[in-house]
Amino acid sequence: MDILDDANKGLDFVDKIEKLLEKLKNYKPEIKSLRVNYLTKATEIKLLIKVPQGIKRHFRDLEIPAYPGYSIKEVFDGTTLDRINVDWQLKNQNWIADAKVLGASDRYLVILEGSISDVALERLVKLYCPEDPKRGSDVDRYWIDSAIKDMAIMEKIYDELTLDKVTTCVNVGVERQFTSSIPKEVKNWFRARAEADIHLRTMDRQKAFKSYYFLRLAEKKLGKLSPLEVRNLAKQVLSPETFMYYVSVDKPFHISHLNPVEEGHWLPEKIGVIVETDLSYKNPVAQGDLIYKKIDFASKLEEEIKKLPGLPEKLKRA
Amino acid sequence: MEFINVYIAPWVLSKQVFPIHCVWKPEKALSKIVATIPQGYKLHETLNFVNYAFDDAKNTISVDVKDLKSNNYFGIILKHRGIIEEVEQRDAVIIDFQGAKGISLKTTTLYTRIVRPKLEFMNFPREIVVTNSTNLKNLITLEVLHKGFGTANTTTEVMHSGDFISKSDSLYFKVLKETLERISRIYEEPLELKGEIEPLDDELIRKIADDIFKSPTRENLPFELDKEETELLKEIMKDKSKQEEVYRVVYASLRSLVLAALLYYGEKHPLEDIKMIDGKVVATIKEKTDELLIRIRYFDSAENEYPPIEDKIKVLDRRDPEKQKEFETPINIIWKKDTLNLED
Repeated sequence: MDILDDANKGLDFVDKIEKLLEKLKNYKPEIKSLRVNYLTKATEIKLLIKVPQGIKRHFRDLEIPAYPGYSIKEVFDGTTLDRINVDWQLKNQNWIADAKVLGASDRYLVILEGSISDVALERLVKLYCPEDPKRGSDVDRYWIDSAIKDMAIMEKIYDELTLDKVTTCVNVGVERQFTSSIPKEVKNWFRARAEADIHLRTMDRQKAFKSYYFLRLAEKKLGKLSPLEVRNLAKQVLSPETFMYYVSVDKPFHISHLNPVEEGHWLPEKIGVIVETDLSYKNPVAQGDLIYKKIDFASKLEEEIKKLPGLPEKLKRA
Repeated sequence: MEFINVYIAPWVLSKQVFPIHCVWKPEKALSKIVATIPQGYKLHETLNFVNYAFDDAKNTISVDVKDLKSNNYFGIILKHRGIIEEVEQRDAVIIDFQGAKGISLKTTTLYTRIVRPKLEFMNFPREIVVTNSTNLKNLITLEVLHKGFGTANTTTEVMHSGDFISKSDSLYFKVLKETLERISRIYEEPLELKGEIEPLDDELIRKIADDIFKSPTRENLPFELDKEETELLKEIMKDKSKQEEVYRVVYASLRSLVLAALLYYGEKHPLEDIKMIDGKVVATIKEKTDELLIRIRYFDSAENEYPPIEDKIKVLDRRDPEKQKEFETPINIIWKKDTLNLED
């Protein structure tokens, strides 16, 4: 599918609503609200229509144009707000219902549901955050800003536009806390073990002997720590369940989920923190700070490293 | 006129887009908004309006209130065009809210804050003396100061025969190179696994092998492979029957790969806001080297490359003539930081 197709799809969203309103003009349609979920791209439109008794008697059927990508979710009596069970039949691109089921009221709230394309969403809202945080001694701070960009597609129609779960990803750098938390002795052991492995593989007897000697020395001091244990430890502390305690965000934003960003070398350097907020026609902008509690996170890492099996008592106490 | 919200992004790197916006209580007297954009900035996007007039001479953007989609909200997205000289640059964006006949109802001045990392040599050895008993691991030590703001992604290079070269000293590269060599030999000789191997998870082995060989480029490997090597690796990975053998080689090298990767991870991040792309690098000193030219190139997180810093070290080789052989010596860098304080 090419870009043009995508762009047209984006516009489709508006076209459909405008066409729908045009076709429903006998019912004097009034859009009460439009709700767009940024995350799931689901949209919900509340449409108030007027169906006077005269029309009901005259036409017997209630017709609502059907377009691909939209369906009728529910119908409520516009006065009593009671839900009405309507048996919709699809006929010649129209949803048709027997007007008798509508009862005595002349106002009905029709709830339509559909979805919005990425392109339309991209036109609707913008999110910004910096690449680099402001560093403090205990915390790092990132600013976040989100703003409705173009209400053109909502123009004239919607005073009650709500954009739910407008999300952005702030990439929080964790590499320093991770590297500074591994004790120097452990790093020396890593080096000795890795060098011995290479020399053993090359079968250079002299080098293998020498490196094995250093390895034994390092093992004597440090025990038999497996690098995979360290890697698993890193994975565990950088997992969303654990890391979420070390990031917070100002209202009106809140954290939706976390997503470690692996940049090769098999350890995440950054954690993608997905933050979300709600925007509306009346509140088109939102700002706040994301805070990464780096000192607390470094302490957690140190604590976990000390729990590694095989780590000598001396290092655990350090 | 009463503002509900006035905002400008608190800081940003050059060439990164940043928002400015105002929301106010609906005001009947308001007819036009005129924003003056400082020189050196580009209007990247508009928020809540499409039609506007741009005055090139004054660098102003004018919007009629009737062209605002929502009548109490104005926003622009700007971008600083070039890289800045100093660690920060602040410029005024003036937004004038006008009534009939251009009479100002309210004016707000917002200051941009463009920041950058800036490196400087603090201590740079003027000369080094090599004797028969010199400890080659501690021959060259520089002190570099990171001033300013944001991550400096650095590459340390040494001039060798007219070209600046960054040669990493990282154990990780050695392990990778050795692993690659073993993989290259899969075609030539039957694979024989030797040495003790810890039971490790299969998924990890495949992931590492795939990461390395999926596309053997600089993004996945910390060094450049020559064309022939790249072709050979791609060839091997295409051959499904050889893939299993590749996994086995990686399996055999896994412990050293993981360990070296962990060490490399640490080498790359010696200090907050410093990333050494190649880890620690080495200088090669040949028989007749009498001068070393060292250069540190760097770019920020928005990939703006700044002018590199460079200087010369005089090399005095006082070894016995028969011992004057070529050798490699690491360039030790002590990083210091003097962070730009962003508080007003």
